[in-house]
Amino acid sequence: MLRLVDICKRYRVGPISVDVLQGVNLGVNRGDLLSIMGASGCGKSTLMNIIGLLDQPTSGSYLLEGREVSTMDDDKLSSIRNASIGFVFQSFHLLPRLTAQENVALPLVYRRLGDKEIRHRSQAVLEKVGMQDRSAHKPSELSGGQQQRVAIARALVGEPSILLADEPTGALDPRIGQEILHIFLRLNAEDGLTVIVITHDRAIAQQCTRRTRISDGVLHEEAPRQG
Amino acid sequence: MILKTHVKEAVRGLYATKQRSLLALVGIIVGVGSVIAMISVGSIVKSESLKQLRELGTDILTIRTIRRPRGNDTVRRPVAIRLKDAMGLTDRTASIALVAPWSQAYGQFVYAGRRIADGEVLGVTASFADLNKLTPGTGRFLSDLDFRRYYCVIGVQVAQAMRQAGATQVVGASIKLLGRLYTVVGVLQPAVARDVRRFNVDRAAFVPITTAQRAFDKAAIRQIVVRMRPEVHHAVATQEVERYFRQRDKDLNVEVVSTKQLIEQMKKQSRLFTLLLGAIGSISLIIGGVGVMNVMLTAVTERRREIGIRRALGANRKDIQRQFLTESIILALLGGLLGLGLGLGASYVLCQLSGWTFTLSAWAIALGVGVGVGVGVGIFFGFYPAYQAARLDPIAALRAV
Repeated sequence: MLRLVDICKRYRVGPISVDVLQGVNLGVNRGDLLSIMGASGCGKSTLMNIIGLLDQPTSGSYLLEGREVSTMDDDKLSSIRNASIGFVFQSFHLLPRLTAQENVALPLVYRRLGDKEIRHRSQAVLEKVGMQDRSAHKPSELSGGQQQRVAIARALVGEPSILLADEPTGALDPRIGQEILHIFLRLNAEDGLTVIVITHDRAIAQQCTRRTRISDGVLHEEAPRQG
Repeated sequence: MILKTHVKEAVRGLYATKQRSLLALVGIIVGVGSVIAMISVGSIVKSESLKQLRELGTDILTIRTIRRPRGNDTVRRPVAIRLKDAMGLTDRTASIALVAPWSQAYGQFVYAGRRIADGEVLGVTASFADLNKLTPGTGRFLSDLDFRRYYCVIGVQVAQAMRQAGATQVVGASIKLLGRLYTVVGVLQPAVARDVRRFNVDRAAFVPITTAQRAFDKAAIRQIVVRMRPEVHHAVATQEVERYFRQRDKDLNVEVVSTKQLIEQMKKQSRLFTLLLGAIGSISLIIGGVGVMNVMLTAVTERRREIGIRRALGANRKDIQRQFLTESIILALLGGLLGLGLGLGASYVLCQLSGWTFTLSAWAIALGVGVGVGVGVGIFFGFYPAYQAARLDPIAALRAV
């Protein structure tokens, strides 16, 4: 479903250029639950931005659902992002002026669906993450864990093929973080959703079926989990 | 619908920063307000003066003596018109039907030993009432039989002043005008078309022109009002009148102005006025527009993270651009509508103060200007901030605090 071949990313800061990714190869299949680990500054976020189509590689090939996306223009990338990728961020990134339900509805608004369908579908995903009673609340009226549930609902509402989570538990205390992770595990197990989790937390990575690690700009896959 | 969402979010965004939004609005409100006031007052003044001129009649000519330019000797006073020359216009020209020469003096009005007013005393003929649409409210106007008699007709405000000074019966009472005593034979009704004459009917006194010539030092005839015969073109009449006076006295130079020309002049003047206020309005609109731009640029900077999030969720550049453009249009439109209210209010107050009838005759144009200018300013000055928002790098935007 997703194939990265020899992805390189070079940043240029004034006269200095930094090679953040130096030939990343990765294949992800439908239903995978994959973790990407690495020290901070190793290029985890860069890789996630490339996978999430927010950034484009300097060189290399990226096939998403059979389409070469590394050379697409901004409009196409936006619409593929809208249709195929669900983002979950470390700091939730909910829009403060919108209610939970309106936040969840955003991807469908940009897909230009009708009001009724948007309301119906966003209410349904809020239910899925156990937030149906909070749909009219503003983010500031919700706890961190609740905000992240709303953010997950927002990532799910467009029925993406990949859920991309960047340190999804990083801003939460461990118990709440574990609850959030359970939602991912459940979505993966029950709905067969492909989930990629970027984390520096080994305990989180241990619960994923596939574990990878970036070091020196290259991605290594760890041996499959025992048992 | 995405537009509905944009509008809803724009209103919320503006409301969230309402203090700043209001300040940005002030410029637009003043700009649109002055443009609207100018359109409204301009159209009211124009229709008011046209109405007054039409009340006087479009077959009227005004003749005035002017200085004859002769070498460097331009300071000489214009030569006065002799009464019999003026009266001769009807018989000696083919185009003039009715003549009313008049003289003008200025001084004190005294009643019962008290000075009640300062005003103009006009020496006139009986035809003057007809040509100037003056009608007596009580008593009568002067007649040609009042030749050299010390009779006068007064305007309503003079009559008012006499009553305040103790007169119970104005008609028949005596009033001293510029040092001589006159018997009041009539009081005029309040004047129609009061703004287009060279004298204020309501505050003036009228005496027979023959009396004026004896009584006042400066009672020279310098102006004549005439009515043309039916079907005569004003250019033809003008030419004939000018030739007539040149034949009477080679130093006598007259200027002839027709009501139609006055209307044209007035239209030209109001165009100039419109242009001037238009310039003022445009300048404040630019200032207002820059205010809108400033607010929008600030909003874009403050909401970088929001822009990044929306981009991550699938908004493309156009979506972001439209969102911010919607916001600036709504802001400017609000300013336009408030300016519309301000402008109409200001012109209403101005009309009240000037005694004009306030009409909303230009309301459709005003509404069009209010809305059109609002939207136009919003688009023009909102475009750059919206463009900035649209081309933000989503990753950098997401990282913003």
